[in-house]
Amino acid sequence: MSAAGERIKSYPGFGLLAATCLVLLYAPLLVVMVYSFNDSPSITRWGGFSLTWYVDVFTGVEAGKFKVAAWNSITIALMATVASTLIATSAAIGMTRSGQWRGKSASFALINLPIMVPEIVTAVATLIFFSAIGFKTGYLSILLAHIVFCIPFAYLPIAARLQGVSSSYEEAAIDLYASRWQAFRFVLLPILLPGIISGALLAFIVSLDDFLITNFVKGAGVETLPTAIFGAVKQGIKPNIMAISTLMLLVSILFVTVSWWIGRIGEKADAPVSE
Amino acid sequence: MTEVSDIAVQLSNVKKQYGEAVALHDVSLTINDKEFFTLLGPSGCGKTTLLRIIAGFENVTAGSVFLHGKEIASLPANQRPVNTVFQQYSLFPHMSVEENVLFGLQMRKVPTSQASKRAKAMLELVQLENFASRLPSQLSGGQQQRVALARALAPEPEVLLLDEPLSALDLKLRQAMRIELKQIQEEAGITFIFVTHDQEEALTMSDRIAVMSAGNVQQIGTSHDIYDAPTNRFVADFIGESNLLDSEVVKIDGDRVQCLLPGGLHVSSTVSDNNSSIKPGTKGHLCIRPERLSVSNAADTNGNSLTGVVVRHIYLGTDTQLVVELTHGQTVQVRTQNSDQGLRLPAAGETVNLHIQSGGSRFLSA
Repeated sequence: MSAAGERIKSYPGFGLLAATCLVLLYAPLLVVMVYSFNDSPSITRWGGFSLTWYVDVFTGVEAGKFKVAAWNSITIALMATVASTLIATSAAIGMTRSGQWRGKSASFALINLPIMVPEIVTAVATLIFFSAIGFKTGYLSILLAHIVFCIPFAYLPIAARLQGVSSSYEEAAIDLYASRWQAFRFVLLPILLPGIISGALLAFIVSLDDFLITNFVKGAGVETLPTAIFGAVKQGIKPNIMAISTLMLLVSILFVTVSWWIGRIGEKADAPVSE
Repeated sequence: MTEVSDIAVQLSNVKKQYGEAVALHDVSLTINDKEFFTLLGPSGCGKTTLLRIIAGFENVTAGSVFLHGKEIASLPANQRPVNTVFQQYSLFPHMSVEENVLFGLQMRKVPTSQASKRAKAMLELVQLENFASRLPSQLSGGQQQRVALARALAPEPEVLLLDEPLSALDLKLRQAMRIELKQIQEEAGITFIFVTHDQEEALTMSDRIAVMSAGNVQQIGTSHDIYDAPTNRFVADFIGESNLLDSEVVKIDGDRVQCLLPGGLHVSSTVSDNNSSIKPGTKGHLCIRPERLSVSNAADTNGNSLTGVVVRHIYLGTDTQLVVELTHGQTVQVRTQNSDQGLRLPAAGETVNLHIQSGGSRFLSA
């Protein structure tokens, strides 16, 4: 590992390329983070350090709007996470523990298709679908759409983990007089848990910051945080937007880190049988 | 004839098919109570399938499985009083050693105090009482193996099934575990059904061995039986090393036969007792173990000796192996112990006479 690391550093141009990538990826984020602490109402001129805009987010004129939007975002994300993780876990177990059957690859493709389909297509299609069946757009339509597009994001880490879990664990449990449910509850589920948590965190984040589909299916009057921010930006960017963005960025980083960290713990806990 | 109550497992006419592929043709065998019984065969012979049928992980296509006289073919795996030691141990990685051993007892709703006493006794049996709170990943391969054994023994199964449990261990440990396994089996007083492709393992531990190939049982017998008295060519070839010489029966001589070798040589040999179909003219193979051939300097004219030229002389530490090309072209292996100081073994290129020790050759018609 370290040897390979040193080798890649010695490639000509590595430093330049890495620096360019880092700047392109993170400079805009950095600017937003720095200017969220700007004392001046300008978004380009530095007027000294202050927490004004963070206070504004929670107490300013737009605070009420953001609070409702944030509440919507979080409740939708939580429910979508629970529902999609349940569905994804069942699907993953079904796919990996059912042997070979006709249409298995097709099913796999169908489960993961939402990741590959351009989001705008999903958004338009979902909106058309809801209006075709006469489903009133609003909170519930957002939730349903979120559950659907979160499934593949929850599915992938769970299925990846399950692939590495030999079915002989469940056989061993059943051999030791466990029922199928007990084998799942006491053996497979705990082994799978890191994958399930990873999948759930990913689903949560994806739901929390979805804009496109939400914007299409939300209907009038209901906002989530991303659509609320977009609405505010249309009336001109104020530094409070930067403060909100920075807060959301922190939540995302936190979740991704926890997800990665849990995945790693899981890997370590069941290092494969050695020798 | 054994009493019914002395029979732990009886398989009658068990067939197993996966679609078109036949895994087991028509297997019938009887495993006695408290016996260390081994299913031995190359990979793909059906031995693991047979074990999984007894465990309840596979259904039979046809036939019956009896456990202590009771038909169990329709009983699900979690209701059969048999436990398995898996090839990869399959210890639950999130549970401590003790929790692993307790699992079967808890599933059987054994009262807690009784269960923990039993788990402790099992860990003592496999000498891991000081490792109870460790996780499986903190143990060596050999220790994990023993936990798997303790876990499977804890619920007091009527029969313990072992699926190549030693194959993941290194050679030294494997050899030590063979003796230990046999000891544990005797102490626990439980029927063991052991699956392996390693003939040395089978010969060391088993009371009886069933040699399997291509979904059939080829021979059932003690280690002695299958090594010294193989009933067919497969068993002779698979167990130990064998020289198999093309041969034809010329005369039946009581329980022995006179065989003709391609070079015109006549050899008197034993024959498998259940081979009533053998008569003069029957073609087959003469099986001679390499250690049953001895090098003699003088030409032996009593009919039980072969002549050839040494093509290879291989020193193996305890033994020396000679590869000898017989006058009619077939080659044979000869193995001689090196402790015999006085004997000078011929070098490559020398002509030797090979004496077939008495009872050292066996005619196999199949």
